[in-house]
Amino acid sequence: MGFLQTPLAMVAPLTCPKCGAPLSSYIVKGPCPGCRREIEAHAYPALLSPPKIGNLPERIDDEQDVATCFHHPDKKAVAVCDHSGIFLCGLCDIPMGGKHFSPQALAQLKAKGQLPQLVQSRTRWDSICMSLAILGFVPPVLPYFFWITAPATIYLVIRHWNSPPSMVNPPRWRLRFIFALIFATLQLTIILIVLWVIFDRILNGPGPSAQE
Amino acid sequence: MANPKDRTYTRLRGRSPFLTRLANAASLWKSEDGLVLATQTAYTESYQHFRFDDLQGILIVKTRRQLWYMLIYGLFGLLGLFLAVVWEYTRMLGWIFFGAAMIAHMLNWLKGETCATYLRTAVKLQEVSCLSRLPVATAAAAEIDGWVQERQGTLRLDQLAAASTALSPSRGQGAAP
Repeated sequence: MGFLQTPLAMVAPLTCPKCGAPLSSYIVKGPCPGCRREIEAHAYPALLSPPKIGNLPERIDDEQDVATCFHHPDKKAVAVCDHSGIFLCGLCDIPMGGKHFSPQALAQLKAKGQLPQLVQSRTRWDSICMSLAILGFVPPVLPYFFWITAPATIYLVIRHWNSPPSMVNPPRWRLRFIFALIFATLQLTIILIVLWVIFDRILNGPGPSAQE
Repeated sequence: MANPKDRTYTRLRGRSPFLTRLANAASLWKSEDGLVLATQTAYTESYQHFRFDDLQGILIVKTRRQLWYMLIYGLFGLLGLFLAVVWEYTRMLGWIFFGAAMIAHMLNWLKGETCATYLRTAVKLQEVSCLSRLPVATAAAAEIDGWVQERQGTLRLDQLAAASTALSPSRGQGAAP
């Protein structure tokens, strides 16, 4: 087993997630002292590490021949922004995933959704299109409203074909778009056939069998 | 700049309980530097990122949901049996009801005991609703242990003992079970 089977009571802030009681007894796999629920705990070294403190900018005292921060000319540069290439002091430097960013670059990348670590949510346009396409086949919608749902599905598929997909499962996302498009096209084909039959009857009158 | 599309995510086993899934379908994914908890609410998928460097622990708490499910399915089964035996005209419906309840009961039993799983960081204690069955949660925790150990190393007994002494001298007097 990978985790350490040790008394977690030694780790002060660890509490039972259900009742909030501190795990005061020696628990790795045992009952909570508060609610008596069975708890299995896996503890990692980060539990004991002190809170991380950011770097402080280093002031340049005299006319030293050193690179300075782009935003703070009196501070020594400690890193280069991996996005914009500007020099950053300890205050401006934001390390993330082994890279360094300036606050402006980070805001820009977050707005564009180019940093997966900062993506918080995404709209599932594939699910919306799929639901709309399937809704067109549901009996109350089928005869009355699918002339609205089918074009709406096709519009949404085209509009959001290049929108950011599900971050964790993108291949399925395109597949669902394709299926939605097929369903909507099928519905539109039905609409066109029905319209063609109706106009045919109006223009040419009823068929020979009806005339007999 | 790495294209986000180049990042690959591997899904860990486990699904949210049925009723929870209707409102919030959660899934846990492994990325190159951590875990991503994806929760789909209606048509929005929200993500919570947990870096392996920041994970402090995993807590798995046993729950009694499996027993409640057993009770509910058992009651449905009895109702089906009652309908099948008592009235002639509800016999077929009763047996169908009974059969469905028994299948659900068996699946519930096969999935194993229920639990609530939590990921803990310095600032957050997050329930992972997709790890709601004990066998799946234990297996996932074992996998995560390996990935975290690659980043953080192993927590040693002497480290814990030193921390314990520093935090509270009165603690650590009990005996291991």
